[in-house]
Amino acid sequence: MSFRNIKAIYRKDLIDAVKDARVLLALIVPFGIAILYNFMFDDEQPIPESTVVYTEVGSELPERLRDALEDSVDLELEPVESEAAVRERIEDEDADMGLVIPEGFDDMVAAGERPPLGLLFRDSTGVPVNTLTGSVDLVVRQMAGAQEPVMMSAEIVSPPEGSGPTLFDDLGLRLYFVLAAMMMLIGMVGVLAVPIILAEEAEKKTLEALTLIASYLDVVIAKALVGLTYLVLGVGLLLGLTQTWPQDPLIFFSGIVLLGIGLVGFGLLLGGLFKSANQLNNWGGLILMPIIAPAFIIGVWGPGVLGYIIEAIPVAQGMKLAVNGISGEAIFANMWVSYLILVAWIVIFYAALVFRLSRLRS
Amino acid sequence: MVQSTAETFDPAKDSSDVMIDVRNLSRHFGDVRAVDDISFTVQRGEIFSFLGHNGAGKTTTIRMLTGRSLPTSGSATIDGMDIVSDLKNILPIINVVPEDQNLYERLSGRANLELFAELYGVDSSRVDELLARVDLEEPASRATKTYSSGMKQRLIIARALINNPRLLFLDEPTRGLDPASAKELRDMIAELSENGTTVFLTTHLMEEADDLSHRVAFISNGKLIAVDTPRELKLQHGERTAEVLLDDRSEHIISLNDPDDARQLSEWMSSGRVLSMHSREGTLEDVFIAVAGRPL
Repeated sequence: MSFRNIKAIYRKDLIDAVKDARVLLALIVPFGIAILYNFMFDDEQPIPESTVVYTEVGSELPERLRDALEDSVDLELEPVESEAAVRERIEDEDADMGLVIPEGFDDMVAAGERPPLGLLFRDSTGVPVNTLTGSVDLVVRQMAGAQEPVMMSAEIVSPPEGSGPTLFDDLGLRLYFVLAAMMMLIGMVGVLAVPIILAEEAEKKTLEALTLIASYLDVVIAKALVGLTYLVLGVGLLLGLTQTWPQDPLIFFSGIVLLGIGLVGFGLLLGGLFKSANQLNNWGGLILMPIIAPAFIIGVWGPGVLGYIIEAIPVAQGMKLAVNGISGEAIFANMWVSYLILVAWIVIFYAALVFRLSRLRS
Repeated sequence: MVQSTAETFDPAKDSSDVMIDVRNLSRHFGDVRAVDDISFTVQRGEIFSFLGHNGAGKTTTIRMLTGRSLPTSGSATIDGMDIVSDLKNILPIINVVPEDQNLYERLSGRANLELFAELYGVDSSRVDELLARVDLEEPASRATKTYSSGMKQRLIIARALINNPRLLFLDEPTRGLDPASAKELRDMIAELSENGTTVFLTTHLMEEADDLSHRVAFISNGKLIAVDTPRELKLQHGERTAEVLLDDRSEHIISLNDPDDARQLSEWMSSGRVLSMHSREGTLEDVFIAVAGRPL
């Protein structure tokens, strides 16, 4: 192995490969898809909006109701002059809820006089009626000086992994699909761009000229480094363009790098099997599909035989680590299994590659 | 102008003058004996041509000598170094002009040479020197896919000279070139030899081998069937003839090896009937047919 040879071949490939339309396309397509997803989807769960009309009698009730609901509903408050006006707005479907508040309401509540309070609802509201009534009840109790009977704490408990759409709730659609496009980029570089570079060397017989002074190992290492460089640049650029940064960079980047090393190794094996770069380009799409598909379905696919097969594909594990790394949460449990599967594939791919190289000069 | 180099070459005086020493070299692919127990030596500075049909074993021999393929049996040394165990030391002193024009076509001529200059650890000034030598300075910054076949071949020659090799293998170097480019290339090969580079040439062109080579070797079905200077081979195997024009304007081809023909010629000469006579030497093609039993 010669560092001088590796450096020379690496520099040549880095410049030469992107002049190849097939390689360039393999790099650009995932970018286009990631940017498209970035604009199509939104990570934030939108807070429903609701309009409440109320009789203007100087009560604090509407404002306190808005404060109480601020985390779950965006309440727009509109004062009107009379009960008739409240009813009219509800009938016209201009508001979801109407509050008919009598004069001196706040004082009467504070004095414990149990004043009347009319609530009117539209037949179909964007916010559940019991949410609104429950909140009104809570607020008026507070206004009456009544102490809440319990100290309530609420927690959303995620269902077990793979049993529901928790991933999308936790991560958001935008981020999930941007990550899936990132896995696609890694797949296309590893399984399409890198083998095309190698297959073209063999097809055009430039490999013969190179290996007159450099070893096959030098050539393969240089091409693996070119693939990894494209990956690092591509992933970095995607993170920048989508304004995304992993909460746990160690998990995120270790997953990306391990997946990249594995798929580049697979690509180098693939490059030696095809007679021409065009042949590889034609068949590469078919090979690529099952390799990158797990990135898009790992979040929704349930257990079962097919589920286990998907789990065994390196991109599925790379995606899991990327999801955990980007969110900073253990959305997918048992990360060590992901690392184990990725390392196992790396060992298999590179052992096969070394075996193949050892037979080239026989 | 290329002159026959066979007359000017001094054969080796001792073993230190031997560049290639092949002994009982064989390469089998299953039952196929691609190269079958061949032995020969090539002297330092010699132009040695390897002639044979397609599949005769020429390329397999080159592949073994350049470390691309391992021999099944036998041995060979280049500059005293074993082609299997000392390959690492052999590669920097040899180079190959392959049959195919294997350039990086999206890269410029200069970038192609710079890559190999870096691989061989050669100063980049060598690139300029070689571009000038093969007359490619002007188009050096253009992608080589825009080059003509002759320009590409000149660039490949320049690439093969980047490490100033002591031994240069040329595999069908003039194939596909126009006559002017082919002549230019033959001149360059002769010049390399004059400067001390040993040239191992494979070609289908008998005239090319005859003009350029100090010695030629014929290989057929993996076996070496003749090795000598072109002149000796023609003398040994070629038929010496004479073309005679008589006073009655009749033309006769007579064999100088045939006693009856020689007697007839003597009679014509003594009777004063011969108007003109031209001797005709056998060609390498004739020699190849004589030793291989079929034309090349």
